[in-house]
Amino acid sequence: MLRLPPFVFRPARTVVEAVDLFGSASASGDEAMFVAGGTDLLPNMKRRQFEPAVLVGIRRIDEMRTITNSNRTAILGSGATLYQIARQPRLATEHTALVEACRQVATPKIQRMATLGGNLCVDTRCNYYNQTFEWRKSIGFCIKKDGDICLVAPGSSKCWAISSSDTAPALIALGASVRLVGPAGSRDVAVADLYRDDGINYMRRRPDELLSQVRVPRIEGLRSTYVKIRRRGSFDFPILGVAAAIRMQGNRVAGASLVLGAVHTHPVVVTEATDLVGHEPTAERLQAVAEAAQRHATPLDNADLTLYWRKQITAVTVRRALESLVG
Amino acid sequence: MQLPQMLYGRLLCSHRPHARIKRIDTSRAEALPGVKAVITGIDLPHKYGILPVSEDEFPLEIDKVRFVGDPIAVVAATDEFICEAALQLIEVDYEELPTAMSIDEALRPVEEADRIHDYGALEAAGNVHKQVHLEFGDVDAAIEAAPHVLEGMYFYEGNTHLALEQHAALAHYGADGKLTLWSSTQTPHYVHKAMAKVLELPTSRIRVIATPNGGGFLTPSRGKSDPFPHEFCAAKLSMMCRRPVKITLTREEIFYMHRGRHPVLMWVKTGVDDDGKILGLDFQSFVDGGAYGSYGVASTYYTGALQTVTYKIPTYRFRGLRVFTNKAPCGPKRGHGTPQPRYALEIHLDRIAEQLDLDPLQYRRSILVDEYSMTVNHMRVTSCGLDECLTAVGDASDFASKRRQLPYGQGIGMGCGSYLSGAGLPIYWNDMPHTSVDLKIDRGGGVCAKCMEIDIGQGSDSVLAMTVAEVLGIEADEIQLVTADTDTTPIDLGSYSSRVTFMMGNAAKQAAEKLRERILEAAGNKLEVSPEELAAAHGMIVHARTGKSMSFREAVPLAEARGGQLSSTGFYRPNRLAGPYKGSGVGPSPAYSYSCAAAQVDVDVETGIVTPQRIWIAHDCGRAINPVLVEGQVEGSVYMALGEIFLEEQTYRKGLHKFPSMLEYKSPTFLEMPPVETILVESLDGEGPFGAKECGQGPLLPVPPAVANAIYDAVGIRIDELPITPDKVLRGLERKAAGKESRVGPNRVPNVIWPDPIRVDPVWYDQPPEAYVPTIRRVDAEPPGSAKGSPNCEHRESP
Amino acid sequence: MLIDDEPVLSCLALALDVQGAAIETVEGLRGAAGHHELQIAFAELGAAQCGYCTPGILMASKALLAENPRPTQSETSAWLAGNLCRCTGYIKILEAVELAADRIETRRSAGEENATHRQRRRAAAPPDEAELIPIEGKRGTPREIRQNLQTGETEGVSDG
Repeated sequence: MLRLPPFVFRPARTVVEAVDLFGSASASGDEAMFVAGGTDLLPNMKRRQFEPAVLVGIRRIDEMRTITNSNRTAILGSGATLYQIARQPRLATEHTALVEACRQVATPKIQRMATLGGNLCVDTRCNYYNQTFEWRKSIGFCIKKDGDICLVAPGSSKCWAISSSDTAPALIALGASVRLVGPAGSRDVAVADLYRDDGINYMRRRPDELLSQVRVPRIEGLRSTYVKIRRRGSFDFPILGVAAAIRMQGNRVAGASLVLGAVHTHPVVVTEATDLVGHEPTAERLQAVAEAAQRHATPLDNADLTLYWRKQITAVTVRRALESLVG
Repeated sequence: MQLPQMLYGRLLCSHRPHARIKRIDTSRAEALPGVKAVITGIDLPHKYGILPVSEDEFPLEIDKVRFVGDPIAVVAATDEFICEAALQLIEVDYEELPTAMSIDEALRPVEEADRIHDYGALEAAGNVHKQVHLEFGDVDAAIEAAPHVLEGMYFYEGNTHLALEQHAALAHYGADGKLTLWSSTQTPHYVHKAMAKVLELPTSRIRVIATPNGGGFLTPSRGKSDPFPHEFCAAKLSMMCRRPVKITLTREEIFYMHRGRHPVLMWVKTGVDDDGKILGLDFQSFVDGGAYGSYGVASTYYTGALQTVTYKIPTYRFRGLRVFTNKAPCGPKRGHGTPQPRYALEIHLDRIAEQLDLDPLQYRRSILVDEYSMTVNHMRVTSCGLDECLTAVGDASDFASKRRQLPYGQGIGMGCGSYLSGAGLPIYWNDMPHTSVDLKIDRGGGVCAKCMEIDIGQGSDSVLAMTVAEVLGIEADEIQLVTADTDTTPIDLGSYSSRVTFMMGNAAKQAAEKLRERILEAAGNKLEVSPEELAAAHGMIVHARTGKSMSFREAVPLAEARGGQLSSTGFYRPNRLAGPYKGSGVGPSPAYSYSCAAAQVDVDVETGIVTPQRIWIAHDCGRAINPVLVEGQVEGSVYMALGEIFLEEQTYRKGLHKFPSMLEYKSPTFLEMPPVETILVESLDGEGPFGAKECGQGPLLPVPPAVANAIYDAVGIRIDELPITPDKVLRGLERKAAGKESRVGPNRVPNVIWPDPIRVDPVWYDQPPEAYVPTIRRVDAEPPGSAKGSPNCEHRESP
Repeated sequence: MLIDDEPVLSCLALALDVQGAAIETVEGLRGAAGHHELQIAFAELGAAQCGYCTPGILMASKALLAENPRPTQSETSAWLAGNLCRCTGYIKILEAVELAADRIETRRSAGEENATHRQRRRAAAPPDEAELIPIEGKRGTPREIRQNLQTGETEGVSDG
């Protein structure tokens, strides 16, 4: 069977300790990574996509597992499991898209292990990359790991691995931000600004920064949803994620956001959603936004089903998501 | 399993789809501390293969590799980490050869030196393994004279077993010079035989134990019905190191071992009369075999053999062709070679019904084979409950009032199927029994049943115990079983071809009846009544008329005192059933199971996503010896069919398996499973034990075409290609909207020069089919619990 | 397996990371008083064929019943959607969970928390004569009836 490569495990009890442990590992020349639920990291290590010498365990950091819900902001510890978040009744009402996203990640068991922070940082995916070492060796390795060309788009100089987080589009649509704690202190970054257009270095989080909490603003009257397209009702990563949030005033749209997941190396914000603001959400207007969204989707042949189909159903999925919010 | 001093083994598999091995250097791996041995192909230089006609595999390939995943070396070390490190130190130089990754590519002419194998149908260009051309009656004339002629093309993608348990083998070559192999195999006998050949050991010095803790499902569905490289390698390494060696394959390697469903491209042409009665059937199948023979010759014949056992087909031509490709070798998966043609045929019948404006269910009923009859290709049909299955499914699903009546986007469809209750012939030609059961009763009345059968989750252990218990009139849980061990148990060929219940059941019944006779005789003597009037049930032997009785336990010592040790052997060998032509060995079975399924689906016309709403299935299993297990097999078959219909595909890209992982190879979850209504039909076969036939494979067959037909009913498009993915459905809908032919599927088949046909006289050759009178005598099945009855195990000639 | 009563994947749980936690595997499911109701129901209804997926499904089902004692079949499906089975088609598993839930609830309401299935079977009142399975189309002989009463079984039930 596939075995984990050897590594040193250093569990931390506090955020500060975790950052220190990471720093001391790096200082002694060892590649280190944080591990919380491990549901993405450990399988990737078995396939030798990651080969860290040191894992800094952050699963048991109590301060990262709390969920506080003030009247202005929901503050979610990044170590909260997806299951924990999905069970919060108030979040389900006020931040529906997030709860719906959490409920659709992988499987119910994985939701009990996987954390919110882990899902935001989940590695980009590509079916030329998410393979064993032996398989990748057979095909000649790809640019993301051990090779030098992109096997999906051989002419391209960049990596086209797909952003596959379910919670990221939801949190972007909800206007959330994250706190990153590093050796030099902490900073807050909007989730919308957290990702880069590069399948390899896909995050603006530096490796030594710990994503410690997620802050979601509470917006009166906001309705949101997350729709996930995948082959099976469980297990699968998204082949399309649609996060939409709309705030109505009377019969007019007062605010709208729309974010696509799994169609690019990063979540894609569909700015045309704001065209709805100030107007009644008529079928024509919703359709126009849906079609604009489809133009933003640029799937490639590196995930399940055909890329044509994945692009083709973007409009209908978006339209249905928007309809569910204004209906 | 672990043994003291055990070593671990890991395989080095080819990284090239087709290449000559120019050099293998294992010296650096051998020098790694902890490595105890490294072997390559030259250490095991004997070919093997499950079929004697295609012994084309070395445990480790020597000169060339034929697909990515072909094993070429193996390392034994003190742990798997060391094995893994050692594998990276083995240097292999390859010389790349041209690849064939599809049926079309395999049919292209190729230099002799670049062929995948140096045997097969060498007269044909390219990489053709086997060509078959059989003709029963004048098909062309029949079709030409038919008022309605319909042609169609279909494709069924390959898929794999994905048994959850990974293949593993543990070998121990003891100080006594005896090799013991524990392996998760379905066929300990064939592994035993192949071991002796490859390792050059007498069979008496090899003991194969099939580990009972399963990891699969019925018959070939587990994917463990061939001997596999890791089994030989573990054995050889243990012989070299004189320590136990265990090899557990990775999930990726199991995708490479495969032996699963062949991708099959099919062409069908029928001529029918105005009532839809079939006058002639012309069928071609193009079978993508992968890199080795495996069961492939049989698989190829199976794509043609069983079309005739469901509906009356008076003239029939079958042309089949199997190619070698640089992909994982295909083999038998649940339904072995028959779900593919069944998909084609049952959609094809739906088209005929549509064209002639017939109700598809009533139409099928009007053309069913007669029970106790012969088919045009000399298959002997005995009991057939298909009419009852059709009626039951029609009633349960309310088929007549739903078809064409459901709202757009919803539809109902149906299909039928039939399967073997055990292959009529063994894999290698011989006249010996296919199975034997030994019974022994100890002085406390304890019964021990021994048989080489292997329970792979289908419940064959319970069939063995229940059959013996039924005859002896004791409880099944009182019977001790010894199974699946080539040293201690008498022959059973293995868990494949749905043979175990039928064949082992008959052997068990025969063995038990021999002992019952002795026990009743002793009891009758003691009770002073006639043994013939005694009944055995619930641990008691009872004379109903007088009320005299004694317990089974009391009777056992009396019987032993009269005639010595209470032991017996029962065996079973099917009747000689094969017809008078080459290739007739594939398809005959002592009895066929029948099934019918209806599917109701919902089609999302904007996304093409199809959701099965409910499946109804009726299965004629002869008699349900253990109804819970029969239902389990039927439901499991429906499940596996749904996976093949919507999700599962063993596909390749750039010379590699596209996704050899359990995440990307989509196996249905709880959420993909619709409600299934299972109806068991008991036709009480004359030759099955207590009337029983198979139930583990046949129920898969009707489901894929039922779903495809339901999609047609829902939205008016034909999906003639599995799997049915949403992109194909959407494409079909777009074509329909554009006024084009509203179907998705293959549009051409290769233009092949077929060999001259083997022309076989149909059974009714000199009579019109109507005049044909079945000459097979129906045998009344005896119900379980009856005191009389003899096993149908004697060798009888078929008519 | 269950870690602190939560169903998780053992292959992704680092031993180092679960020190001090309560770990429960299928080996611990059978209590001193006998098999768990889930195990009994799985055996009776054929919810395990090859048995390879069964430990994970039993443990996940146990956690389900702890949280939701009377789940509907769709709730059970959603809960178990992370457990693959290749044999059963899941149907008998859903039925077995339902049966076990029924029995646990019935027992709970009867206040017999600790009685095992076998003990209850023994304690059950003898079936009416009319309920006995006739042997070979006839009523059983007195001795056969007595035999039936002693075992109290009119159908195949095993602890398997």
